[in-house]
Amino acid sequence: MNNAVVINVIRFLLILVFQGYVLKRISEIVFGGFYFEILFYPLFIMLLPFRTPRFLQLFLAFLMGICVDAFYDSPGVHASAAVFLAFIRPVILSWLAPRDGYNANYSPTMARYTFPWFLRYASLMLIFHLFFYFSVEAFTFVYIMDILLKTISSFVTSMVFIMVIMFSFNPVD
Amino acid sequence: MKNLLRDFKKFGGIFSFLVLEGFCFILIVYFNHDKQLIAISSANTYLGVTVEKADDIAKYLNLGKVNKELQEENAELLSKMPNSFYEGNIQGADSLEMGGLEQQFKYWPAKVINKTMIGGHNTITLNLGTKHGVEKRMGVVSNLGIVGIVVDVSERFSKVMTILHRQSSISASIKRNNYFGSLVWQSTEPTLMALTAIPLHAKLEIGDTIQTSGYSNIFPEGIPIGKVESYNRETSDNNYTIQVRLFNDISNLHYAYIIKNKMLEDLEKLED
Repeated sequence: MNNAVVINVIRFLLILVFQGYVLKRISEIVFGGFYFEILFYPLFIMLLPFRTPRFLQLFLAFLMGICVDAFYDSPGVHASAAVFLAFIRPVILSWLAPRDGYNANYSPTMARYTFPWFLRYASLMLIFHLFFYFSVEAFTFVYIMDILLKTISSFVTSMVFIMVIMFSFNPVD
Repeated sequence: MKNLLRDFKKFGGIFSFLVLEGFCFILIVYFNHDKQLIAISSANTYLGVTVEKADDIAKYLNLGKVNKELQEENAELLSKMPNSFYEGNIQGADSLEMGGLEQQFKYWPAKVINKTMIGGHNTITLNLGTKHGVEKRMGVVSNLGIVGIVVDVSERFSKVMTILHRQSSISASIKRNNYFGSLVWQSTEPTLMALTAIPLHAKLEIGDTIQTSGYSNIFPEGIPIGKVESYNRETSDNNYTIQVRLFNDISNLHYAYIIKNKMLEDLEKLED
């Protein structure tokens, strides 16, 4: 139990620093920052252990979102998307549930549930997150084409980063 | 009490989701109304110190290009100087005499240390603050055009609402015939803006230069902003709306100049 707490606290800090100092800059310098956002922090919410209490999942997502907002200077936008992601996580997990269910002591990682499973899980989570994020950021569905375009283009860049990190560290829990 | 606990266990997830999401939306809406008051939005100003360090590393990557830009900028500034002066000579005085010119606009070079170039509320942070004399409502320009207006100042840093902001509106005019209107950002493209409220009797041509009008007292007159790309008449009113292609790309900005209008107090005393 304690072990999982320590791992997730360290993960929280590393992902936040990487997102705020490195990825924000990369997406601005390399892609101009308009269509190609690299959002990496949803990985933290994806990897929370199954047994994390519901309220704690939502609160941690909120905390992560509000910290990213401090870097992006957009109070509430990332936080609302992160809370939404934590809220729909159980739904997505139930869609992808293996025949004999999940082991409550595990985390939804590549090492525990194979690469194809994790790819499906991460893709679904990321698509929902990005779509919600860009909708809230525009605050109107008038720019729906723009929102969809940004969701797709940012999905590609974000997914590449998430997969690179997952393959290089391959965390078990 | 037992029922209450059972219900909370059942609906606690939805309940806490709604509370947190509600709080986020209050932040977002409040931010849209008056972002200066929100502490978190100026957290950037305080994070500035660490962000500046990280930015220094990024700057080495395009030092060569920046140097070239700076040289061009210096040359251009030297040739542009006269519009920074207030002409004190009355008619008939010797026009070669420079004694009648009084400095009105002063430029301070500043470094861009943080940019938030995502969505409809684009701001940048500069490395000058109250310590250096920066105040709210000062103009910010680059060598290729205008950048925005200072909206928030801390001791060492200042936050600039760029012209690529839904609430930004800049007084601009057509260089050839001096008709003026307000320049707003309606698109999602970082180099496309709209000049509204140009009367229908104004003769327009594609490619006309748009410049600052000088009526706002924030920017000196005649700073080039962009070129007319297209224009159309709004059905609801008797004005043209002009699509302006900007000369500068704010999403790729490293250095800027903060402008102080030394005669602002004098002007405001008169106009109030």
